[in-house]
Amino acid sequence: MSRQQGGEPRASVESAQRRADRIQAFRLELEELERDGILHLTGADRDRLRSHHDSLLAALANAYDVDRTEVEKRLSVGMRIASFLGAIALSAAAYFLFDRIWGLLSAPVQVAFVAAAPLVALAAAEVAARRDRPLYFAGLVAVASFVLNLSALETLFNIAWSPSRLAAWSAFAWVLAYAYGLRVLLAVAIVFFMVFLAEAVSRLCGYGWEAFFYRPENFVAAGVILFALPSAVPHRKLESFPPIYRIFGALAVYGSVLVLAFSGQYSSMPLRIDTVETGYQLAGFALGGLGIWMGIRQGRAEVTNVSSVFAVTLLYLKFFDWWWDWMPKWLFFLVLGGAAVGLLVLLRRVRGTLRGARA
Amino acid sequence: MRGAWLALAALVVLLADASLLAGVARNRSGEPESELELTERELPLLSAGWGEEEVTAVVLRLDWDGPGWSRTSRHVLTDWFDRSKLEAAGYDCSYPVEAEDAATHYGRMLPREAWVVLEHEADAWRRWLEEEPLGLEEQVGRLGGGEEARARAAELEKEHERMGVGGSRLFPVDVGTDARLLRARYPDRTRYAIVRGVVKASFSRGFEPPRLRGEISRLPVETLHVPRAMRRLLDDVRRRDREDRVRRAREKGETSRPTGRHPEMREPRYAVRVR
Repeated sequence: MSRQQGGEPRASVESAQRRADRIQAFRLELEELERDGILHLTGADRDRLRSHHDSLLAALANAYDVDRTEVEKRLSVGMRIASFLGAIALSAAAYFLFDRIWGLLSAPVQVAFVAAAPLVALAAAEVAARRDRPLYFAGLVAVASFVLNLSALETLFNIAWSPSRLAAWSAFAWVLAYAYGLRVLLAVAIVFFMVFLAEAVSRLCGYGWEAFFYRPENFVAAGVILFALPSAVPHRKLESFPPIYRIFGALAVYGSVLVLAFSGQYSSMPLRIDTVETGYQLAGFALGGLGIWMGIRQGRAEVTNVSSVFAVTLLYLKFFDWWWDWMPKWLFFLVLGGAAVGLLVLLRRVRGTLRGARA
Repeated sequence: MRGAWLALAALVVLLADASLLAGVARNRSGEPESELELTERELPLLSAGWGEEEVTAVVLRLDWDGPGWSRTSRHVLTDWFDRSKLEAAGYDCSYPVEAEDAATHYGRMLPREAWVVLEHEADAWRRWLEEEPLGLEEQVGRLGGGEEARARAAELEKEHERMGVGGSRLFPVDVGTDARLLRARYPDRTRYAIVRGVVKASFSRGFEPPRLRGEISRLPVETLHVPRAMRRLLDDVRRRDREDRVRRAREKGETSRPTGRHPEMREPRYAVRVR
């Protein structure tokens, strides 16, 4: 297997990592089986198998830089955290360097400087990818450079803020996320997109851009689009992307419902506040239940988890609303604990039913 | 395949930059909508605050709401922004202000974008100068009498005097959704600028009948970046201000670095023509 030279990286990296994980798990299980006397390989077979796996792991590590052991995996996580912190520190350094030299440059040089920054960062990301250097770092710096680029031009020419900047940043982060298979950039792109859509809706209705903040319903459309997107657009190579879409889509919808269930004055519906709140509370419980059911049925752990957290939060807030003022505190928390146990029993029954159906 | 993605990323950057710069060129071509000569009173140097000595850019802050913080100026600034002006800014104000849930109804209204007319050194400014401050005794009465009220009233009077010398003379005087209509009403382009702004409804039960008025919460552009070619004078002013602050801090025996607060009110040291 030749060393990978920058084409189709992350999809292959992910499947290579999964293969390496399977080999590792197989080896551990084989040891257990041999210890328990269930299976016994001859020395030649064991050597052949070990040698095959060793060479396979070496090839995968050489081509895709996969982690071959648990220790390597933990180190990789540490490297990612270090990269992330490094990206933040370097972005801050770039920002303060700009501050230091910005006023000394003429306008054309300033424009050239900020316009070139994201392109240079893009080239640096590509170099990092080709050399198997951590891409989180390079990708985040590229997006930060583009944010700096448009913000600096806006300041330089005294232009008012426009939501179209968010669309541009989202598109840039999105393209880089797909180019390098980086989930963190996909998350950044999604957040920019959601705020853009909410702001655009506000503006279309004639409100100031900050009005989007007071209308959580503006985020629902973005949430639904994002949640449904992976079903409409298959991600065969980037299998880790659909859960990110679903998590952020669900968070946008659930977050809006949660705010409106207890602060109905932020709704754009011309209804009484208590009517809005009751409606969103009922809708919230229905949506949470639907989400948990869908997540379990379709085997999507992320949907089940986000929906469970949402349903429990909604339930607890409702309990607080009903009982906090008059119930003794010990009883209140006892009820919360009881509700959690009840939910566990319910989920266990659902799991049992599903297992029975599969069997 | 990745080459195509990267080309697309570069295209996004180039298109965003090109569209922004095209907008700038369009905005700067042709006759300026208005041309006001403002001074340090309306455009003081913006302090960068923490780490100011490391910042080389020169930015001016647009003080557009007159001596806005001053208690005495508030009603001059907003008296005109009544219910009919709110309607002119696009709000539906038909709901009766006496209704029990009027505060909830109007409280749910969101900030809207509208055109704001800014008047420089004209009627609103003169009215502010003439009408205010109230006499010291009247102010003491308003503040509830007593020694504390007397001290506060004297402080306010002094502040008003100081603002009269160094405070902004740029006042918002009208709002609307049609810029051409507003320009027809305020044709003097050297005195009135018509700019985008964000307005909101403000309901108060503290009056009889309850009062519904408008407020201008902000303008989309409230700072002006000064190009290198135009900043020699401002560099001098800023340097002198910094030296002044350091000297004063030393005199007071302060060990921490002086912050970049705006200097005291004084006669303006520079004028800026803003288009």
